[in-house]
Amino acid sequence: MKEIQKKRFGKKGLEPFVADILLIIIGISIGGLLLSFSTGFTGEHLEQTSSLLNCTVAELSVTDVYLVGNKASVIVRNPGRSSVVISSAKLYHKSGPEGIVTTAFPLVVPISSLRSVEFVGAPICGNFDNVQIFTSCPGLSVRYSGSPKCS
Amino acid sequence: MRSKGVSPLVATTILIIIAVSLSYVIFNWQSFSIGSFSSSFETATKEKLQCQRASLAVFSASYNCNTFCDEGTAHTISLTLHNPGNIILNPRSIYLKNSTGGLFELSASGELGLGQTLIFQNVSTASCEGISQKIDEIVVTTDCPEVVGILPGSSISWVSCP
Repeated sequence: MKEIQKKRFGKKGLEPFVADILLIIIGISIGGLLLSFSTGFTGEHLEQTSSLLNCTVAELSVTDVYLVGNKASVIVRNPGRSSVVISSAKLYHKSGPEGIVTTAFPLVVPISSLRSVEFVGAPICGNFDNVQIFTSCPGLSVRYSGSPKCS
Repeated sequence: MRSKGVSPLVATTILIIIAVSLSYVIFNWQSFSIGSFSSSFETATKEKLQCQRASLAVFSASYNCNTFCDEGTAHTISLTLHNPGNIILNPRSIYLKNSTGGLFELSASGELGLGQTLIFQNVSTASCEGISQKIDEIVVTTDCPEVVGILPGSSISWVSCP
């Protein structure tokens, strides 16, 4: 019986102090890993949500379209509460090919600002159909089909 | 069983202190990230509500070309702005749109109190080639993004312009 007890409990192992330190180190390491993962994960999602929420207060309007020769200038205004990034634009004729945009995108339109989007291959005055401006905000685009100012 | 160690009371206290400290750190981190995120949204909503009571009128404008349109010559635009709204407005920029779609931005600074009428001036040494006698419309923007003052180009007085 004594021999069995010796075999069972007399095994050498780590000192309790060393075991505690090891446990603490393992605990802190796992905690650190989890924290850094959750920080990155939460930060990334918070940033995405923030930019989407900014889109809820973003607005864009086309104030005027000027047609001069084969050039068109589309004046856009940002009356919203967040900067708007224009990602693309299209100019359609009633008949014939689309206008070719010459403005470099992305074009940032800060709050309370006006910017011009330029095209070549624009239609003659009576052939203008509409202009469409697309932004990086999902669902925020503007279509203008009013009368252009021609000269 | 005979090995020495901390007493259960001390161990429990240490555990509680560690748990409370960690909770405090995580709470602060979360409230900082979420707090700054929601406060910007709150500010935007507050400003939008205030701006519903704002309005701006441009009574008149004059543009002094100083005889030449060359770059380096001082060109002065003077605008008479009126605030008929219920909040103080700060004009931000003056945009000059010419008849061919050219857009010129000039800065504006100052404060327009309730019911106040003031003359705002901007002096620029940039060329006035695309501006002189060619302006289709003046647009004045303010710190309320939805509020602008507009004056047709036909109402501008041109002074010493070629």
